[in-house]
Amino acid sequence: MSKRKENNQMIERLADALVEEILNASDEEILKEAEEDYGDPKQAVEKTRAIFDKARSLMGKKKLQAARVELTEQQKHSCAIIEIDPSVARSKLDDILKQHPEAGGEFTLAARKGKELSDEDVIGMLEDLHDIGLYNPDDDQG
Amino acid sequence: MTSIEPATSHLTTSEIVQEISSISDAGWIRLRKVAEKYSYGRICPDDLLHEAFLRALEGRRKCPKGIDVIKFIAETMRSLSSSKLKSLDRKPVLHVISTSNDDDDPGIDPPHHGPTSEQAIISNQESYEIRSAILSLFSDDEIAQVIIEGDMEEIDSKEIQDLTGLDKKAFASKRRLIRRRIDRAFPEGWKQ
Repeated sequence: MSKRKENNQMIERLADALVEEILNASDEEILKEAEEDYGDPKQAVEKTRAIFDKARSLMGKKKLQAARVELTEQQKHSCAIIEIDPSVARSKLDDILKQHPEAGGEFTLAARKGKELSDEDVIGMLEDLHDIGLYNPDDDQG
Repeated sequence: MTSIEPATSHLTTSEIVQEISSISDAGWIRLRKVAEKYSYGRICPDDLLHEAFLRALEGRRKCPKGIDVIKFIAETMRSLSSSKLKSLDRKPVLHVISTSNDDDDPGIDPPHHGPTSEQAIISNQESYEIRSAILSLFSDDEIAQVIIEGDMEEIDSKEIQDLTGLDKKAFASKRRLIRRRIDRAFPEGWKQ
């Protein structure tokens, strides 16, 4: 073992022994030591507790930020189909079902039975196709 | 069952928050002292403690149920600081550099891995100085020196006790004396 590693490891081992001693000391001994070491034990307690509060607050902020990112992503997808001309929507639906007949399912069955689709039905079907990734309203723009 | 979190063998985030929040005054002082010991004069004790709390809260370090939360946070600090020391201990990586005179040879830009040799030497020197300073604190106490050297060599406590000839109570008392003398000599971790 190199001397370099040895010195660091020796200090680590000594720290382990000292920490074990700290963990095994009684509460009374620890509080008495705190008076000697920090002057005001209450202040040392508060200072240490504040480190935990800071970590907790940071974790809360991280969670909030992650939730915001997720919400923005959801909004990007769920609010995509809002304004579309019904005739354009029908034409778009026809195009997609021609290109992806396998995605038609019950849509084409309804059409085959001669049922007339309302504008709402068409929009709803486009939304379903959007959910499975076959329609992107952004492609209609520009 | 009112909790929506699944039952596991580890504390959930809310359980760990509850456990840490209910630590006693003596417990908070213990954590401060442990952070100072594991700082090795190279990490800010407060930063070490903060990182340990954060990892516990984020679940990057999981606290097994039934384990004392103070011991768990102490162990987390130990692991963090040990990694830091090891990163300072890594030997420099050797890279083959082209000696070709060919203008088209792009050569190699060696990647930087970890500390420089200079940083590793400084880290080692710091540990050496701490070790020497600690031993000199007990130049008047041969038994204390045996205990410290035994700890540094990772000799079992019972074996060290046998070497010193102290009974259990006297051995515990000597250990306490050693720690307190080190505490006073290095009030902020290992900084003199």
